[in-house]
Amino acid sequence: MKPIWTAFIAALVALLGIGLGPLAQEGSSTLLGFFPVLLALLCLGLALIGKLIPATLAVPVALIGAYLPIGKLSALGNGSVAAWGYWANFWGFLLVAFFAAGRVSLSEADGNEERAKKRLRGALPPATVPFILLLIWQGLVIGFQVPKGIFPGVHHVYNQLASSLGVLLTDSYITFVKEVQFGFLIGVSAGFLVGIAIAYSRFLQNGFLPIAAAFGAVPIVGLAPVLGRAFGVDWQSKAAVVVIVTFFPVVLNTVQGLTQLDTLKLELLKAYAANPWQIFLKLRLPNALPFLFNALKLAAVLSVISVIVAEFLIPGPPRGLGQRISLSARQGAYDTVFAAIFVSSLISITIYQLLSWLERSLTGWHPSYREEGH
Amino acid sequence: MLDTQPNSKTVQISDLITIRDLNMIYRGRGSETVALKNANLTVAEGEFISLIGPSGCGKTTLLRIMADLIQATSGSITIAGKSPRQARLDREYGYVFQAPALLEWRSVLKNVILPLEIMGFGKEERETRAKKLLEMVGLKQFHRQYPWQLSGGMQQRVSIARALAFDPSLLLMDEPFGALDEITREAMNLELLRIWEETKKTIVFVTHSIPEAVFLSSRIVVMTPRPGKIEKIIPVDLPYPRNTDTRESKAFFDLATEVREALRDVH
Ligand SMILES: Nc1ncnc2c1ncn2[C@@H]1O[C@H](COP(=O)(O)OP(=O)(O)OP(=O)(O)O)[C@@H](O)[C@H]1O
Ligand SMILES: [Mg+2]
Repeated sequence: MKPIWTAFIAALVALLGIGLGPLAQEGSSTLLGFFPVLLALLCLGLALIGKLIPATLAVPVALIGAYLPIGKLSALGNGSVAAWGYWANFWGFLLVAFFAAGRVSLSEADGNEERAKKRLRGALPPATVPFILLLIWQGLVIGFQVPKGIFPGVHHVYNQLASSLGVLLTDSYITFVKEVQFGFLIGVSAGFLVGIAIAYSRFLQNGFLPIAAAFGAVPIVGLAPVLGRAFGVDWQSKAAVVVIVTFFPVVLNTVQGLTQLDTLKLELLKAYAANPWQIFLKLRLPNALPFLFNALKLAAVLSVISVIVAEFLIPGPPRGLGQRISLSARQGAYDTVFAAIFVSSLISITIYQLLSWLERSLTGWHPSYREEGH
Repeated sequence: MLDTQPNSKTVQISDLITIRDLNMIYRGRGSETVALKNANLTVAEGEFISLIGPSGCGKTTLLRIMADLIQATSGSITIAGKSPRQARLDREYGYVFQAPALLEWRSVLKNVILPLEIMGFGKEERETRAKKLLEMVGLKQFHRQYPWQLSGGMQQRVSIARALAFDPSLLLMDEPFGALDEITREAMNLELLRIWEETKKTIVFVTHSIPEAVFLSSRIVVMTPRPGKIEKIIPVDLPYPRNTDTRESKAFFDLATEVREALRDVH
């Protein structure tokens, strides 16, 4: 591999900031010290070598390097805004991490490489990006000394998360275990059954399908108050919103999956004089699985979004994450808002990954997984 | 007149397939294709019949009518004394499609097992039969693979194993070896002949290859396009069992020439 010149130049910029630049507008100290200089020199060297393992090592080194000016400026504690030394240092190291991780993920795998290296190639970018984003967030908030009431720093959100984790988990229980889970299960199973009925009935296919697509587009903003009136302010009304948003994508995908068939395969089963139940079980259902999982993943995303909005629109005594967000936002407690968003995102990602995993294990034969092999 | 007697080897048994004045017209938007015009053919039990003719002359159409996958516009057809529909419901035939038509979510073994599952064979019997057939088509070690991991020719061999799985007495095969290389094709020809002679099946076999038709068949049906017609039926009086020497005999060469000329007359 060639040296990573982009990372090398970025490391030079960082070194320049460490040695020469003033850290803050007032009380102009520099970051100059043994440890930061060591990190910068390390990055320079690793970037020059440019091989897979050195480039990988450069990533955590640079991430630590990018945190140093943030820590130093916070420790200074005089409320002063950052100067160019801070920014050169901060962006320099961040770019080193970015370019080094990029080089690792884009590098060509050579045929007889060990498994571990292949895995590294895939794992490094998703492991690096969250850190880079968090550092940018924190670096900007500290660098410009943004007040907590306008935009909280990562540490504020973290503190809030740690201190009110219990409350947030109780909220999550209402939102996910009650509202999303019940709504999702009912909506998906109803959608699946109705999808089957439509797939097998020409009458419904012509009559219901065009309307179903239109129904799917009904905005929850309009629907939520009506459902609140009908089902009360408790979790049932929000579950009803979830039922509605999950139902239609599942119907449409089930119908497609059951009917978009290779006619040759149908003729094959016909030649064996297979009965309709066998045709369903051995042909239509497996054919529909990839469609169904697309619908499930879409439904999962939609249900989280809509349940949060529904909690905004139908406030009620049992507090969910959505209500926590709207309440805290109104009080200017943005650290809580972000903590709640963080918890909700984490749970959504977990659900989505679970579905993806299930999909891979059940439809591993599908063309979209072919590259990975079996 | 077109119904030449079946070859000397088979003692005359009953007729398995009778086709009388069969017509097939595909009606599209403002267009009509006469795919079969006044076809007459009788296939005796135990015969090996090849259908040969240029692309679009109605070979697949004729086979699909026999299999009750489509219905003729007019004329009559019986299979084992029944209507094609009844014959299909009674599972009288195995069909090899022009394309492999494998189910991509099933492994090779599971694909071969599919008809046995549908017809209610026991679990153990299914496995033993499928494995034996996969060995026969030279794919034993591939039974765990999925269709997309096989080459086109290998996929077609799986579909042949699948058609043989429930041991039907009538085989309808639509260019089963079209995707195979010459060497594999000749090996499969020998294998098919062996099965045919051992199990006394009746085979209707579509091909584009003149040597293949001569080598395998007891009679060759030469078809012509626009409109699809049965032009000539050529009996193949080469003794069975046939082997590699058969291909080098003078009689083989003469028959191939006769078929070639019959096809050439068409154009
Ligand atoms: N489903 C269909 N609808 C309309 N026309 C068709 C249909 N199937 C076949 N035909 C027409 O019927 C004629 C015969 O088709 P067929 O598939 O039987 O030919 P074939 O002899 O099997 O040709 P090939 O050797 O290329 O497979 C062709 O002209 C074709 O265009
Ligand atoms: Mg054809």
